[in-house]
Amino acid sequence: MSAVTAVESAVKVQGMNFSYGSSQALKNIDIDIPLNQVTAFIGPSGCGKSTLLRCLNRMNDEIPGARVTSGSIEIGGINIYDRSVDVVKLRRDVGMVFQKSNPFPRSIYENVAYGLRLRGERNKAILDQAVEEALTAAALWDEVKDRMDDLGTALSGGQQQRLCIARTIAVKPKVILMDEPCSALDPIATVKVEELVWNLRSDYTFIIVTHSMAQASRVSDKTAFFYMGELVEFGETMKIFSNPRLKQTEDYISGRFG
Amino acid sequence: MANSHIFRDFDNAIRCLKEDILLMASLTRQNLERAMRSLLERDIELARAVIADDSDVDELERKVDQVGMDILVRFHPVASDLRFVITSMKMAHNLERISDHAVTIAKRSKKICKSQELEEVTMAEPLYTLADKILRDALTSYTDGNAELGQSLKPKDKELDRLHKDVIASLSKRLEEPGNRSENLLHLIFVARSLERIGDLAVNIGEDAVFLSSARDIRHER
Repeated sequence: MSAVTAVESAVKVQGMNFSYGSSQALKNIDIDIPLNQVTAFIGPSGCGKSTLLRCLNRMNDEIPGARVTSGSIEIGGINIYDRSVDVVKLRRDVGMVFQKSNPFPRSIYENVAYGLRLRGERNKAILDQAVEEALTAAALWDEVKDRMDDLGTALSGGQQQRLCIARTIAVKPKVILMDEPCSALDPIATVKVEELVWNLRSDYTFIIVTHSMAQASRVSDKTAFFYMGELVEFGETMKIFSNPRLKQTEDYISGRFG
Repeated sequence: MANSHIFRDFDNAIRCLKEDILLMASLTRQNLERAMRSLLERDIELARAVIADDSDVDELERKVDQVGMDILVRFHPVASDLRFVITSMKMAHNLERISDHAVTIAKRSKKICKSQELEEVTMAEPLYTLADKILRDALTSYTDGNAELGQSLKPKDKELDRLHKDVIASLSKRLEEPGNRSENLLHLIFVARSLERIGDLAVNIGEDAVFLSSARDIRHER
């Protein structure tokens, strides 16, 4: 990782255009996602926020006809769309937590240890320690430490989502992408996940797609507002929610869209 | 806030808040005007009316706070909507205090009216004219979203302070003169003091209006 400066960016998107076949989903996106901060992507459905999120770990590669038509995305100084990039390694560096929690149908322990095992880690002591650290960081350790052999899928919705976060951070990614991570959770589980994100941001860079304005304002340092494939406004969350620069942003965040 | 909100109810609540503020502003100015007229025209009935009508302003202050709280709880407003709710609640507070000063003036007026005529009451008139002008401009800056006007009030308030100082000096001097007018002169000093305070509160309203229209906090700037 390059030397840390005051406003170092974790992800640098420049002049990026993206299309699903003939339909352009992202238009000329320029954005610097700051390191070790939480950045929220907001905007109405179909605005391109999830598409951009999925470009950041090349999840869109799996969709036929979907491609970055121009521009670049740099993470840790490397253009992730370069031919030499190992996509499996990229996804280890850029973890993802989805809308619906998706633990593997295995034990809690194995869910968290999975990524490390995949990387070739065999040492039980190292695995034990990594699992405990990841579950502690995900604020789940105290709740599951006595039932590590239970199925991950047997946990409550909120716990499952935190288990997925633990699974993601166990491999120590640089960036964690979250696509509506709380949309299926009750308010208390939501608060736990939000607190977790807020507390972990000194170690990881978070990018969170959310439809909840309240969540964006609670949990993020920076907010980016997208509309019809364009990045309309990007700035400090406090500024965006108290005095946005553009009327279009104000109309959206204050519920006057259309 | 030009476009309508997706919740029709939200627009209604905001409209309700604005109407209450405008009603409060109008009642407050009316109370102040009547308090001064009672003093200048020696009209005790008018003073009594001001004292009685102040409860309408108090009631509106409570209502504005209630509606403001409801909006915050139900709609979680942001940006200019949030500034509007916060500013309106602060304005209601300032208007209520201005109306309290009108009551103070009315109470002093009642006492002055019960004694022999006091020619010095006219000295309060220029203070009132200027304080009311500042108040009117502050209210206009709120209703029209005119930050420039809201920001222009401080020099006028300085002028009011200077006038107030002159009136107090002059009245204090007369207090030392022989005669039995000292109690009424003291009442008049309190009237002048209230008018000066009204100028300060009107400046607060102007500052809040600047915050509302441009999100700038200009309080305590020199």
